[in-house]
Amino acid sequence: MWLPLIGILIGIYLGMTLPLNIPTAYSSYMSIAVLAALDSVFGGIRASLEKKFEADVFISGFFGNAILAAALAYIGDRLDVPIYLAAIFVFGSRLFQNFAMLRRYFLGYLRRKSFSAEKDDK
Amino acid sequence: MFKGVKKSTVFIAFMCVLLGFFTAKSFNSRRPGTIIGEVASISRIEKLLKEKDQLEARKKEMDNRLMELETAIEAWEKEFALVDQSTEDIRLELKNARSFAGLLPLEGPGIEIVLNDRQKDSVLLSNPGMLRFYIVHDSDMLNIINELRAAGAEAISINDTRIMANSRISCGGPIINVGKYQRFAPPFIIRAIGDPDRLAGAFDSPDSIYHMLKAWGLRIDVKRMDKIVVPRSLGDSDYHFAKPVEESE
Repeated sequence: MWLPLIGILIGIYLGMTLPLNIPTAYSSYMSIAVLAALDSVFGGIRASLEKKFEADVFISGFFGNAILAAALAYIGDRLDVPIYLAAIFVFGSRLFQNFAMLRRYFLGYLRRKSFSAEKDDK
Repeated sequence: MFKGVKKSTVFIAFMCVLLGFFTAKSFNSRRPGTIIGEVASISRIEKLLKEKDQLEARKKEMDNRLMELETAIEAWEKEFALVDQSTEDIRLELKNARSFAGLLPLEGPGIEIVLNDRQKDSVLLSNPGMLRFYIVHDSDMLNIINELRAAGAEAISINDTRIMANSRISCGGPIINVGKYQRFAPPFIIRAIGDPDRLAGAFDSPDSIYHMLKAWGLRIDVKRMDKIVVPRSLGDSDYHFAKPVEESE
């Protein structure tokens, strides 16, 4: 539970201190990278809760999705059509789906817990 | 290394490093809107508007304070003037000097000029290359001010900013810089105190800029007024370099 939080903190620290500057022109790629990472994290949490987590699927999913999205954004830039919106749409809707699953899982967990607590009282 | 920790947690933590990194980077990098000429975000516009309101309130406060202090000075001067005739003379001379320097609001007869670009019409739209002839320039403004001065204007203001001896009028792109702090877009309202007939008559002279501006279709309306008010100048009025020459005998 604490490891991902520490990971985020380390990531933020690195992002703020590393002297890597991303030009403004690539800000749409940045947003896709953020979304891809978010999508992977949520997907990973969901998979691990469902006991279906596989490391190779997880890693390849992140990089594959990110590369495909970046390629779409690049083509969109060339064609002057914001195709990267498609990637944002997919990532966004998957985010919400995964979040909904996580929510159900935790609510069910809490419900079972309170149910068993009530049973214990009686 | 991570004993007792699920493999999935380690991978998710690794992904969280990436997530944090990208998030921090996208907050860090210069967003569009920090550069003039690019689209500004709504939040930035709101922030700037708020800042503007604050600064304006602060300016108003400081102007009020200035007025307060000057009223106090005036009261002292009046008290001092009661001593005898010579001190009263000094007070009057001081007042004269102040109104000449633009530190007192003045009123009197004069004229009011409304100056504006040519309104959008078919002529203007069919000659986009001639656009620069259809707008008010700093040089037009300078010419008008100069003609007013030649006709004996005693006090002049542009959009309620007093024109002083050292006021600049310069081009600022789509606006005209007036004085030290003001930037004005058209329409411009120029008020000048003086003999209304003489001031207005200056624009009837054949070599007046009035005819040229009219010919290009700019709006320039001259109105004689019985009483106009020209505000005082507010702001820094200290000389940092110039000093009066000490007369040595």
